[in-house]
Amino acid sequence: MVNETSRPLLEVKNLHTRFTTHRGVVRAVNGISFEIREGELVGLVGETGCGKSVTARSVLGLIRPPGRIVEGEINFEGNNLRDLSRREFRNLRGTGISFVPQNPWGALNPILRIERQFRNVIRAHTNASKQECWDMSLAMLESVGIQGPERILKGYAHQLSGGMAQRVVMAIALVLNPRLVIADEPTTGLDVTIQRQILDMVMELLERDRRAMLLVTHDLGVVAQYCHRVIVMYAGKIVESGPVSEVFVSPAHPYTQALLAAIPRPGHDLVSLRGRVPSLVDYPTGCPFKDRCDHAFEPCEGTEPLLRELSVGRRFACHLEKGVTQSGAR
Amino acid sequence: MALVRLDDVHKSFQRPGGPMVNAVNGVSFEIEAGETVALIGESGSGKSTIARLALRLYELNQGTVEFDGRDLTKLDREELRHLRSAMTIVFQEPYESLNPRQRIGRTIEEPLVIHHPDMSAADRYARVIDTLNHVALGENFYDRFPHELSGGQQQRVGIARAIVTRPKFIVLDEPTSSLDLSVRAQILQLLNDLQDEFNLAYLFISHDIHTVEYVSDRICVMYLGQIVEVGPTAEVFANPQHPYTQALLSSSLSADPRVKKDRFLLGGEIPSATNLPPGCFLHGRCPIGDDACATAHVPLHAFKGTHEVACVKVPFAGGGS
Repeated sequence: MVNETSRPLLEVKNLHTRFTTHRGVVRAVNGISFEIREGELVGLVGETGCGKSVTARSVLGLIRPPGRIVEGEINFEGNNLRDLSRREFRNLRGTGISFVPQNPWGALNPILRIERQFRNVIRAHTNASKQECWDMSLAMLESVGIQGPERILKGYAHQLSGGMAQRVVMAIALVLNPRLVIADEPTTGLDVTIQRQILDMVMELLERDRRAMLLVTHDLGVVAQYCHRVIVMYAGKIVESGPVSEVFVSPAHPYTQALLAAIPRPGHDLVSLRGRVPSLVDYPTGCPFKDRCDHAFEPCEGTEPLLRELSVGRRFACHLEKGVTQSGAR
Repeated sequence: MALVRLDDVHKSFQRPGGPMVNAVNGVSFEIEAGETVALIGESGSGKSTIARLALRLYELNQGTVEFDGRDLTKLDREELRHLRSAMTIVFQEPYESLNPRQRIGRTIEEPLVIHHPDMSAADRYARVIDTLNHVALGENFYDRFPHELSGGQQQRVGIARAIVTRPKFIVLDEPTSSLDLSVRAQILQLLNDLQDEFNLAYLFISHDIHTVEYVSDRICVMYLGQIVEVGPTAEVFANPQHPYTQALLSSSLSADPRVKKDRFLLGGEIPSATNLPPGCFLHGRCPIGDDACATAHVPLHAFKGTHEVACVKVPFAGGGS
């Protein structure tokens, strides 16, 4: 279990990330704040364009022009990552924070043996000998469920199936035992049975070693079954956050409720959201969800709802007194 | 009589300079008018190949495909072309399936130009507008280009093109896989409404278990180019018999955290379709299989009513094994 009183490992405060394009300034992330504690598995969910990947990349220091973090603090173990030089950031990646991208082929070097790619990562941070690197890599591959890891280490990326390649990328990300793993749709392109095998292994490993994870995904099932806490984003803002066991059972924000209702279930009518996400260039005033919301009333038009506490550990951004769950539905 | 009937269909592809890929290995099923049959399986299970074989977009190696009582494998080009207005397809990637330089109205009109050369331009225009309204896009989309549309709108255009000739049968090849959750719900609802209105038969191909459970009347579970289990969707979901079906269903993760995930069954990965093992294709990954499965012949047999399973460990209907 996660200790509520443990100090936050990652603390994001009022983060704004924008991209300058020929159409204007895209406000991809608009003032979001959240924390991740030691050993906590947190799901970051939302639909295409909600800012979840940009949030992950902002924390990792991977935003490059025309993108820019214009405001906010990103504190990791007490240091503001925005103050770090590129070199300092590089020292942090791999041991402090590591990254698992969606596409494993993009993350692996096609012309280096897998063994060498492990060694490059390990030696960037330690003085391990070649043999020590080999042993560490072997053990790590075994713990993500790869049988015959020697063969994999001696081979190249193109010889791997999609599921194998993603396991290798995860193993490289985990080999130096980072305190926080940020994974962006790590199993999205994979078949469900392979996804299940990988998530079972990796999440158990993280829990055992009390490592934290920020899992960016649009798959609510993955979050419901593997994460402790969930953060729901819409139009570059957090609209709801809290323990998975509460948010997915009785969502407070109308958007969270709508997302859950859009999952097809036999015997239930599909509830689809009308309209589209607002433009992130001409960002709307008031609540960004108001045009699609069945509960919208006067205050939603002109005043933006701020993220506020619903109960301990649960926050939501809606003008309804108690949200849509309890007595709040109007 | 069934509207669509596949009987012992086989298809393999010769890789240039490589081995033969056995994509579909003896598949039979039927679709009634107005019915939705789902094909579910993972990558490489042969479901998209079957989608194309059902319309004879590929030539079969063996077996027959019948549509409306006619054997498609025996028709010549011209006869087949006539039938194409009655059987259509919607693709997975909506943008890729649209001509980027053609206006939406023209894209939807094209099947009418091909199949109804005697139709007047005014009638065609009226039909296109009517179809645009049916898919909830409306008249003002007529002059737009695909890139101006969202993914959901592009898929509505793909659907409009498929229904404009008023077909009886539509193959839906992962029509919602590339769409966000809320948009997916809209498209599924639209497909549902169109089916009711035009009495359409759907062959719905998907790897998403939630979607399949919601949309289909009957389901065929595929593994390595074979159907391993088939039956009424509710029955198969409530009472899956084949170990592969059980694994597939248990790997679907519920968004309700109170529903705890089942123990997962399968090890390893799907074997290569170039070198099919003898006996049961699941042998080696299967938690209940034994040595006999390595050589056993495993045809589909009735488990209960129309619920059929291809596993020697599952008892036959009426007892025995």
